[in-house]
Amino acid sequence: MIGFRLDARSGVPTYLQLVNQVKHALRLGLLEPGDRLPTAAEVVAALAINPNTVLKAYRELEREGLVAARPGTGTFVQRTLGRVGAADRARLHRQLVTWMRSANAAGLDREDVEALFEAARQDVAEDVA
Amino acid sequence: MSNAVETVGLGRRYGRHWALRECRLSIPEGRVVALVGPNGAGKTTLLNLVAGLIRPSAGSVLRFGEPVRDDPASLGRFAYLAQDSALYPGFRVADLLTFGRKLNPRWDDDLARDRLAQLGIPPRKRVRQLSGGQRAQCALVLASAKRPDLLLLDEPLASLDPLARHDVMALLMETVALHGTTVVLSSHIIADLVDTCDWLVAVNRGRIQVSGEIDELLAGHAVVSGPVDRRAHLPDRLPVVTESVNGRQVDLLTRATTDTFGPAWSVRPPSLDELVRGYLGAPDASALPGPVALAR
Amino acid sequence: MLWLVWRQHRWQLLTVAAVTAAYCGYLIWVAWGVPAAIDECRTLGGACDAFNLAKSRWDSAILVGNLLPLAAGVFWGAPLLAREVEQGTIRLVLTQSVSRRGWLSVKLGVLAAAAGVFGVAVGLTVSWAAPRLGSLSNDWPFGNDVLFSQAGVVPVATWVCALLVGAALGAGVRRLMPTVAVTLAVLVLGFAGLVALRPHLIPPVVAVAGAERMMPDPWFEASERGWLYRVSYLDSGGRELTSTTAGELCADPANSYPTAECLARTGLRQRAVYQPLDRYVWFQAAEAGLLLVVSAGLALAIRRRLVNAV
Repeated sequence: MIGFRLDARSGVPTYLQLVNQVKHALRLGLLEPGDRLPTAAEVVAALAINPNTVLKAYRELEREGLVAARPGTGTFVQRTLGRVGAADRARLHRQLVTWMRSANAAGLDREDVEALFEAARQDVAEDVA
Repeated sequence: MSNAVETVGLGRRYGRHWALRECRLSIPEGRVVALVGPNGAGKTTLLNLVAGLIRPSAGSVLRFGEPVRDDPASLGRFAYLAQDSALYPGFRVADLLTFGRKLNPRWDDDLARDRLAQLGIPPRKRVRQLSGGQRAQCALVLASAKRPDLLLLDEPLASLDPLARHDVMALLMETVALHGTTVVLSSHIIADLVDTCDWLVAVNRGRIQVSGEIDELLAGHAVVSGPVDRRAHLPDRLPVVTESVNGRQVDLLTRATTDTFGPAWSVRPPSLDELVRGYLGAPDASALPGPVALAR
Repeated sequence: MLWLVWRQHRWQLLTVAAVTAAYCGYLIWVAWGVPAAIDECRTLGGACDAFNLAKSRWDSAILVGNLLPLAAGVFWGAPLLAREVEQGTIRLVLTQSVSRRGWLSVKLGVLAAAAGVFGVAVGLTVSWAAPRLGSLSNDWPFGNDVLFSQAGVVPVATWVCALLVGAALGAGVRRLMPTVAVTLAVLVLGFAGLVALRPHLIPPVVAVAGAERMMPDPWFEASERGWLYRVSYLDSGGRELTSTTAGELCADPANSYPTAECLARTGLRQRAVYQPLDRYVWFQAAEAGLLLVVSAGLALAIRRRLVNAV
């Protein structure tokens, strides 16, 4: 469960602060698909804000497909904002292990591996730029 | 959607002085209404009229489409927290709950007990032994446990420290979230109302000056700022509500405009505080549904 | 609602109940031994000390007893609305799910019933006790200003009326202490006015009689014969003489006032203005009725005031 907090001096509208805090929690894996968001009553009891503000934030999240409201039970997380899915992550991990084995076989030590890794990252960064 | 409160031509006179006059107001159900205005503007008179505590000298009040009547069914649908939130000083807190239970068929005793327990107010204590904040909390518990559809609060935050203010508003907002209660809340501290209210009613010199949804009002107005020596170059038809000069800068609160005024001028949406102060500073201007009079 | 009335007024009710009980108990205690004391006093050479003591106790108690209904006005009636308005709790109680009429009827109803009960207690006690002294003193309720209002049904109406006077003044004055002061003044003046009005409620009987049917003179205002307003004498020319002047005319060395013998001898006729004893109940009914009508009027005025505004 996520706990909201407000920064009155940020100048960011309250509903947007709530939206951003949910997204942040999704990125960090603090919220995962299937988790229930706090009800409007729970949020307003803690923050003393208009319930419609909470509902507006949840509607925004719903519009972005991040959460879904199930009548009578609450609002639940639909998908995560971690950019790499579990399958992608597993595939990349496998490729990296294969590469590391060949590097070992070629006699590269730890510092050599890190230097190569850094150089490759810069090459990719230049490609993107 | 029907209106929780509707007034037509409502007025109240004390002797020859009209405390409130020609008041036409519609508040939709489920709103949290900020009732603002200077002291003596008529906020309390309006609330007393809606509560049926005083009779109109002119016009009429409807609550949920029905005229104000002195019968249990009509009285049971609203609760009123008067300014001083006066409770019987000799009563114990537990007596207040008995009072509420015996006098209100819709009374929610569990809610009242839970609230008091949350607030840490012991039922054995007498009202006169409670702090001002605790008394206000008790009065609010009494009002919410009545399970009203309409909750009228006259300056509920005035006697409270910031922490208690937060607690009171939290309690209020939770009631709104759980039961869809319509709340009308008078205050002259706008900051307390920014995150909680979604409807604004401004009363000034006995008249309703502004009434509308806060988001729409804010979107429908702009603050135009620029150098004071260029003020004359602004178009005459600019619907200015009020303007103020700060040194070499002039700030104009205007109704929304599609015009642009050149690089010297900045246009931004007003804050609620700016909007309210702008209108209260220009008593002849109004922002009401229907025909609108402007300052210029 | 009953709970609320009890919770708000229990101390006032209990205090007045205790004082009333003490008062009635004291009267009963004083009157209990009076017949024996009278017997002792009437025996030739007997001592009247016991009776005199009882009589002085009785007199002071009865005087104090006339103040009791003030308690209903000041302790129950005055705060009923004035304190609610002063404390601001009127806005709390009038916005509960109880109509104003309902709230007011229960409050006034319960307190008026309590006032009535206490009035009955006083009325029964005085009605029982007064005649025990009456045979030797003028303690008959009929014709006695301070006893009449405490005997029979009149105290019931007096208590109820005092309560409503306090409540009505509270509704007008709206502050407790001023209401209490005004209530006290109004009740005292009202009581004095009522005493002054009482002889005029029913026109008296004027009886002119010769020696055979004359009333004993002098005699007490209040007696077992009724309520005597005035005794005078008419000479043969129809001129009216006071008892003293008539007594001088009689020139009877044994009596300073006229006797039957004198009337027979001189032809003077006695003129008595009085209320016969059988009118006691009518006076009771008239005064109680008057007070209850005033009470009802006050109750309506309070209701009207409350329904129209706070």
